[in-house]
Amino acid sequence: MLRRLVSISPSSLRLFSSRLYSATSSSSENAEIIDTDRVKNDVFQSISNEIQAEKRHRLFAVVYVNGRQWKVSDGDLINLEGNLPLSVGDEIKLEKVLMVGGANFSLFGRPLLEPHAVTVDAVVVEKKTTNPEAHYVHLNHHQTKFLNWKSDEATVVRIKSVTAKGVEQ
Amino acid sequence: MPSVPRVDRLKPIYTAAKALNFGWRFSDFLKIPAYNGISRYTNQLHRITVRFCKQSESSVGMRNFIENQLVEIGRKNPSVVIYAQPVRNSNPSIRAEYGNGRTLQINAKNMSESEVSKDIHLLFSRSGEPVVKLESRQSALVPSVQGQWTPITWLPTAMNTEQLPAKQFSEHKSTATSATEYILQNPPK
Repeated sequence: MLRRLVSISPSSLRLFSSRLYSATSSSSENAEIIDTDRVKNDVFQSISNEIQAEKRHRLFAVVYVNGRQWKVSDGDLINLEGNLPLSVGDEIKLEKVLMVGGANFSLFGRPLLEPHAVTVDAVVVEKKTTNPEAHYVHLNHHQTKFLNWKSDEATVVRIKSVTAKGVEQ
Repeated sequence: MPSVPRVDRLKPIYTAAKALNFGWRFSDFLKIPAYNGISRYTNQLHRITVRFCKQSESSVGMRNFIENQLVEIGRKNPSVVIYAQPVRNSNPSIRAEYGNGRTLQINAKNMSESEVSKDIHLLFSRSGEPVVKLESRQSALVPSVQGQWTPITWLPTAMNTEQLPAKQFSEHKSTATSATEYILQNPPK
């Protein structure tokens, strides 16, 4: 299986200064530039083919939500900490996308991909409390015991879809 | 009550079987019933019953809640059936029934109006799954799109036919230039 790795400029998926580094060079330090338009176009073309919505290839994305990075794909459930200002049934779009990938390719943002290049749709499916956990403190020889039951709120989000636009040439 | 419960009756067997499936659990994976939210979201709360007493002091908050907020909540959630049930000399309670067949009941004795409101809103946003400790913060239908990484995933295929250990595969790789490499690349004049 051929996997291609492309470094993408921060503002968009379009490569302004196209530089492809060969993976076969002896070390990452003295990577030689083998920039040819043909190779670049080949890579872009194959990624665009993979991304096409009608082919229904499963994509995954790395999104930044709730102070954490999540690797999500279609139908995933993620448990976000805290009572977020969302109500149940709200549809949200996760816009901080760090990476998107398919079976045969990976696109990395530096650090983020442009928000309208990748769309990660999500629904809030549940807001609940977490399972209470005992916070028990026992101080020896002090006749002192504290028992606190700690419980927090959580927001469960279902990822509806991860879609991407074709790579511009 | 006999000390040894009888097992030839249907009821204790049925109850035990129910407890196997629905009983209290240590931990579980994150899940939502009925594939909710995969294509669209539907409210999982079907019915909510509030029981209260018209006279007793412990139902004051509940009575105020019914008077001020309940109708508005019902208007906002047309898919949920709301029953207000006055029961004389009873402790007030809120009972919610969900699409997965579970019932959740909260004792609302001596609760203020705002506390009752908070609990009702919690019950509206619940999916009906029991609250348990989660094994993981995320659950996925497909664990990995590109395949799970293994130590041999990116190894060169030339290794397959080589008798190991071989010198070419045993070299220490580093991005830093070693002193030997530097001298070889820049021979002294």
